[in-house]
This record gives sequence, structure tokens and C-alpha cells, in this order.
Amino acid sequence: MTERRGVRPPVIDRRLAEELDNYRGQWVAIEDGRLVGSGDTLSEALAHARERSYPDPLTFHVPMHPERPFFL
Amino acid sequence: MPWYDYPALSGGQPLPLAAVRLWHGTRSVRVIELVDSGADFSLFNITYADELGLDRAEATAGESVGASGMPIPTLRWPALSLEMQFEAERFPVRGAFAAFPPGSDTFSLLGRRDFFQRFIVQFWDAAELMNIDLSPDCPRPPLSSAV
Repeated sequence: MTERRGVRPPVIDRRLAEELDNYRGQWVAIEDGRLVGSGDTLSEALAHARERSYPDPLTFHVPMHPERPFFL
Repeated sequence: MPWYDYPALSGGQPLPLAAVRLWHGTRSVRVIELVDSGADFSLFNITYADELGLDRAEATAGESVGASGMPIPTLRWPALSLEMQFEAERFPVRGAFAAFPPGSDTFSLLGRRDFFQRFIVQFWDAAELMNIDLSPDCPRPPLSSAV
């Protein structure tokens, strides 16, 4: 997505969203918009990121079915 | 604070996701959550409580109700100082933690009794933008700048 003036870019940009498609149902760790860790659990994703010298990444559980509408 | 673009997951609709940091003492974890004006309070995946070093045996158990009408068991730590940080603003968490069923597509939520108490949130779905601000007089981006 082209960045719009005065607007913060999304926490997950289009390129990362496409990459996360391969991680449905998993926990992921993200640093500066890049995937730096993943795992079946949050602690696994964080450990993976920390092994790669990313001590404090953003974390997210990737939905298994993002195409479904959400009613929360 | 500025406007924020909605991200869209592959094949999905754009979602108002925001990055926050949860704090318990000196421990913290960074989380991407859904900004949800329909949620009475913020609701976090219980695994974040574990990461923050919270002892489930010391939690107060409760129940919430999701959109399906089904009860959701929750845990709170009212005696502990749990905080949330968005941008430079750090404030108490009034929400709860829940063990989401394995395989479920449930987001952690930023809800009204903490996040929406602190910020004025505007959703502009037509532009896939949300404004999260401490005051209502934040200048808005000109529509003509949208690409």
C-alpha cells in the first residue's frame, strides 16, 4: 500500500500480509515490518526471534481463516 | 497522534489493528490487537499473561460473553499493576485475559473500559483509516492526499 501523507502505515503491510499467509494458525514475531520469528506458541515465536537477536518484537496470532468476516 | 492505516490480511477485509505494549512491572510484551468499540473491555490472549509472568493460580476467574452469546472464561489480576502502552501513553489495564480455544480465529481486543477511556477513536472505513487521539481536535489528513 502506498503511504498516505499524515497517515501511519499499517502495522502489517501488504508484503508482510502475503508472507503471513504461510503462517496461518501460528504465532509470529515482527520487527520493523519483517517476520523475525514464528511458532505454534507465543513463547516459541518469541524464542525464535530472540535467537535471531530481535529481543522485543511485535507479536500476533495469525488467523487460520482471515477471509471470513469477524463478528466479535 | 495521526491517522492509522488499516492492514488487511491475505484474502481478508481490512481490519483496525493497532500495536500496543502490555506491562507488568519491568516485564513487557508487544502485541497487535483489534481495536473493537463493541468490546466492553480489552481482552488478551492468556498466553500474554504467561509471558508477563502472571501466575494463573493467583488470578480472579470470571466470565465474559462473545458475539456468539457463549460464555468465555476470563482471568484478571486486580491486585497487580498491569498497564498498556499505546504510542507514548501508558495507562492501567481494566480488561481480562482469556484462553481462546485452540484453532480459533480470535483476536486480542482493545475495548472501551481502558483503551477507549483513554483515547478518542474514529473509524473511517471508506478510507480504511482510524484516528486514535487523546483529543478531538487532531487535524485530519486531506482527502486529496489519499492514493
